Amino acid sequence: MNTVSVMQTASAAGRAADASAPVRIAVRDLDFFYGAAQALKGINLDFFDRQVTALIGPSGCGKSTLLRIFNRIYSLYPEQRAEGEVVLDGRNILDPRIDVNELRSRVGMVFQKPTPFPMSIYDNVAFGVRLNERLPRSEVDDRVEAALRRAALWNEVKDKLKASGMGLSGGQQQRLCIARTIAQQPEVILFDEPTSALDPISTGKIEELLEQLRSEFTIVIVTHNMQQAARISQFTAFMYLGEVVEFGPTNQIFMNPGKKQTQDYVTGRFG
Amino acid sequence: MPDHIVSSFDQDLEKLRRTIAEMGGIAEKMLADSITALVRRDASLAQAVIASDQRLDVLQRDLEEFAILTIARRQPLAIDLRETISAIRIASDLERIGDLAKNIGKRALAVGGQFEHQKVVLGVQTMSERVSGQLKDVLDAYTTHDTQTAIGVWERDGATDALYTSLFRELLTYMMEDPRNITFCTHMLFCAKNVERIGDHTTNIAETIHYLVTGQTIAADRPKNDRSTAPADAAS
Amino acid sequence: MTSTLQASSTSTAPATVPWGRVRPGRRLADRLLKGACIAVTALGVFVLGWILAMLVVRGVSALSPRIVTAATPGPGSEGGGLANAMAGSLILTLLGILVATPIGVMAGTYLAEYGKRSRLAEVVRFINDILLSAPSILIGLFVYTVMVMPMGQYSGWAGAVALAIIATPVIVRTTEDMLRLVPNGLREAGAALGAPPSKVITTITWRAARSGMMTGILLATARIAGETAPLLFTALNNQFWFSGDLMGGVANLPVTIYQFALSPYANWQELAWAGALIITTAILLLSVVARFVIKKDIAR
Repeated sequence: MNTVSVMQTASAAGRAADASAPVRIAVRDLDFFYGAAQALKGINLDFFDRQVTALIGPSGCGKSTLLRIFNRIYSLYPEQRAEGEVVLDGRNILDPRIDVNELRSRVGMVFQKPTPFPMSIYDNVAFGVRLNERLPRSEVDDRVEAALRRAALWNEVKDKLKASGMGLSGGQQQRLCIARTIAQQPEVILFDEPTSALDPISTGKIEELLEQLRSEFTIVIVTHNMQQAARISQFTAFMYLGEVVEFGPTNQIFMNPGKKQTQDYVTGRFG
Repeated sequence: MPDHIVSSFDQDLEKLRRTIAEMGGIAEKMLADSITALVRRDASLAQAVIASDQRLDVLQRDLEEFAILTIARRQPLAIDLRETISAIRIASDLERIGDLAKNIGKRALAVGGQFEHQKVVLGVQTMSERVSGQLKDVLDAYTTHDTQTAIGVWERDGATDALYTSLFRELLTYMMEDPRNITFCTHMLFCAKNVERIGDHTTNIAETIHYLVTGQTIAADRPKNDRSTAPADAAS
Repeated sequence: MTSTLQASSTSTAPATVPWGRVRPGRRLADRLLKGACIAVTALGVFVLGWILAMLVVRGVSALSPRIVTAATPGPGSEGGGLANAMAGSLILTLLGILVATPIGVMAGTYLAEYGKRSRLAEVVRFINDILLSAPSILIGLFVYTVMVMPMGQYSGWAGAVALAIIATPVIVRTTEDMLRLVPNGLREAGAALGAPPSKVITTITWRAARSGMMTGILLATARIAGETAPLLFTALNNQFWFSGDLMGGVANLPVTIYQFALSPYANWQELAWAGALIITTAILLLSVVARFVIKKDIAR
């Protein structure tokens, strides 16, 4: 018994799910509608500080929808509407008085397809920095370099910062997008299937990066790749038909889920 | 449990289960035959037991390879992962059971012409009948995913250990009575020990089944009634 | 199990008909269609080539240095060039496009980024499509009615306005189309960084659609450079150098060609051919530049 616990702490130091961490995002009785169609029903979930939480579930289960509420990106589309409470740092972000642009500087997002802007690598990363703060040129330089280093891209692009961001490979573009997001120094980063368009090597690099980023940011990731969720997350929520079926430490969800539906999904028996 | 979307995955797991069942059958037969060979001093049956161990070894190697391949190919999770890992563990337990039965077979050949205490042989036989029952039940529990039966086996093994302890003392007495008995009694002692070890393997399998079904290890320590290693008892 | 057995038995069955032969009927149909397409294309290219060849032959023979130095000759006078008409055309086209570009780009941006499927946007889109296909003489008449008549005289201003009205719907359309081609993910990515819509549009979407929008403007320029009808009613024409005053008639190429080609004077007719060649070449150049812009952007 003793040896077992020693092994756990040694091999997975700091990786184990820590439910004693403070709650960073609290979701309470959240409903979401696309026009008249209800996509999320009574969601209640806690996202813990500096932990990676994976949202899994079949297509159309509402996991991406949930993710897109946390930075209110859904509000770009007038027919979409959320009801309930999503509390970040003591404030309900669904409150119409919240400045979405300030919210989005606190809650960054990385999309499924890499989305480099049609501008230089440098300007891509500096974009978010310049949006919110008026900084002297040298400081912007520092922030750009730090973000690119953090995103493990610096060595590959340091000699071509003025080149277009569109000229990078898919994996590099995705890391550029991550650099762009972390340059803003957000608290939470949302990842919407960040590796589904990438080859295995690029995927590995992004996963390695996620592992690194966890010490600073609260991360929520939507993924269709269950092994990926099992590898990189500390908590996992399984969603189905707009509801959270099961939420718990990732080890439990993938080794010994409590609900039959979860078991059927993670073992590929859905249908 | 509904089938996998990928039906060949079901076939892979089914193949693992079938191989375990086949290995279980061989191990059961080997145990029973080795004891029969011992009791009836049947040399040809003992040879047969020794020969069939090879088949068990081959099956175990194949299963292990196939299970590893399944992990690589399917990346099983939850129940499927536990099923695959459990198959590897149970196969290695069954392979060990085969080795122990084979050892009994060898000893049956060795004691063939010697003077014997029929009573001692019967003691080993009684013990082996208990253990055979454990093995049969635990294999049934595996096919039906029945944790209750598995826990039952796990608990029953305490009595088997107690039986071994008393047999141990009895043999010790015979050896002290007449040094000419020592060779025979030592063989019998090893046979009894082998049977006792087989009992331990059935409890390993029971634990594996419990993990397979529930995802948890059995909480309490198994009741141990093998007192033969307790210094005070051995001296008395 | 049984199904796999069946499948394997059919696949191994001996083939009675050799596979891989094209049926003759199919081959014939294919050749007929191909032949018809080539013939019709050749006809079109031939007619186009004929026009261009005639233009080049007649135009080049009329070309001379004085075309770009001398003003258009009066009736009956010898020689003369097209310099004043070319300068006038350049100014009118430039003015027209300068007016049309901001209106067109803004309206196109409204349709693609803000209006989208809203009622107002649909109405604007519908009207724009009508305007796009409206006969240019109608636009000339319209400007004549609202500008030339009240002001009491033909003017370069009226000409520029008429050209702008023709160019605007083209720019609106291409701007909207090009902005719609920008992937939505790019807008979301901008918004996700906390950029307000105005910032996203000006720094991301416009930039992403830049080359397409530029092409639209260049094509609109090419289109109005050759327009005759609207200028007949507005800028009219004259034989004088551009005086810097846009009130009163302004010399321009299309109307000059129109008038000179119909005239009885041999030197006027020659000048008309030369003018036609010059306009055609200018439009060709613009189109080539437009293509170049697109190519360069795709390569980037």
